[in-house]
Amino acid sequence: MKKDKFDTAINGINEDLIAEAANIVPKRKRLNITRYASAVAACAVFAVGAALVKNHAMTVPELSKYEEHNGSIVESQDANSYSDQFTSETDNEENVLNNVSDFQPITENVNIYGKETAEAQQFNEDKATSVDLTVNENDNYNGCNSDTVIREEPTSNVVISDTATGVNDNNSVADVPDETATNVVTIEPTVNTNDNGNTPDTPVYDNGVCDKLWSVTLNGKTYIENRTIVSGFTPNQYLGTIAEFDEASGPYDTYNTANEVYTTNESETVLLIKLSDGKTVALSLLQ
Amino acid sequence: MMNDASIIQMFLDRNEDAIHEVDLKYGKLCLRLANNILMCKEDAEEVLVDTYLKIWNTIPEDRPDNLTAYICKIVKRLSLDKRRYKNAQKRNDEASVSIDELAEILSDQKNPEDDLIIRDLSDSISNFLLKENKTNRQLFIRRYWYYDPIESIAEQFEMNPKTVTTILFRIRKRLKKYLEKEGYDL
Repeated sequence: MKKDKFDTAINGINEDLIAEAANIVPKRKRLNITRYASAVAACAVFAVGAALVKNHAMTVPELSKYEEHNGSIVESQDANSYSDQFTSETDNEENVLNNVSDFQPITENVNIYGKETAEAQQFNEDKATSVDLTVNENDNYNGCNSDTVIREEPTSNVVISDTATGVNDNNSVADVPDETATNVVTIEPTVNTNDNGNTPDTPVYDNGVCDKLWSVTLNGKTYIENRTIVSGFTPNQYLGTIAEFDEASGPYDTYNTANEVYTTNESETVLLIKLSDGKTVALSLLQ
Repeated sequence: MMNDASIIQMFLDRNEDAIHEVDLKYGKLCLRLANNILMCKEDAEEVLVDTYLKIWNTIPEDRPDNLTAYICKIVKRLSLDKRRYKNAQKRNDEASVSIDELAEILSDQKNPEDDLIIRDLSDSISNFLLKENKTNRQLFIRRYWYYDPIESIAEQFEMNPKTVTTILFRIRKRLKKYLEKEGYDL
């Protein structure tokens, strides 16, 4: 194929794609909104603080306008002089407060990393479609996706209290929690990370894929650590995550144990975690 | 800045302020695209004026769905025409270099091509790009549609120029594989 033909074909690509790439403003010329917002916030705090101090200073002379007379509180004779004295300052106070009200909240283009990079931008877009983590409470493994959602924000920690030791335990996960329950599974999704072990790091993209790391901790002991779940996984895809472990004998080999990815239907992949007392916590990873 | 629908309506109303609005909104983009192709500021400015005239004459008949792409296509076509007309530029400008980069995935085999095949090829390239992530897509289009220099793209995306080069190389490889899978004889 001749390259001029190929170039002609490139010219004819989808107009939306052309337009999408048209308005890329050089990042270095952008206003650093984070710094700007910080500066505005600092000014606002200072202005409010100044107004409050001024307000407090006025309270003493204002109160002194009154005095006790025969058991009653009455306005003192020279109250007007105080009033006159502070009229101009009251105006100033109003000016300060008016100025404070001029500050508008900054709501756009504030980057979570304080630095607008193409990677961060991509991450923000990916985050919008990131995997939801739900817990199949009272799960009957019927594939119902409407169980209680524990976490919606990808960066927040999730603590799942196993209620297996609850009163009237019928071995159902959904039992009423007992305060003495000791089995606590913590799922901590983080953003991958570059990765020096701290959380959350700047996301790393390889071919546009944002990896998320997962750890499972039981009673403070980590059984699964920094396992990867690739965003945009397909239903029933093996997530590469151990699903069963025994607290008493220690974790099974998290890489070689039979893949206990419990599949309930085409749109749901469930991760089963067996606790020391034989109860099971089911985590549902929905696409 | 005025939205595209309002600008188009101004053209339809034959309101000459429409040209001012287009210049305000798209002037820099068009000038940059023309300059990438012509490598001459004066020529690029000439193309810009020709573009505005062309839009003025065509929009009563055309009702572009996407004004940005519509204008950019006119700029590109006029710029390429002007470059051909001048026929004095050596093949060392960004447009030629970027086309040459794409040519590495092509052979010199000369098969008869018709407009239909090219249109299909355009669709296939579009489909391929839609499967790429947004950043990759924009990098590719900035390089091979707008003919932006690597350094300029690197600055826009806050990347190292070598990174941009590497990403583009990988995209080209994937594109080649994709098109071959689609049945194109490259």
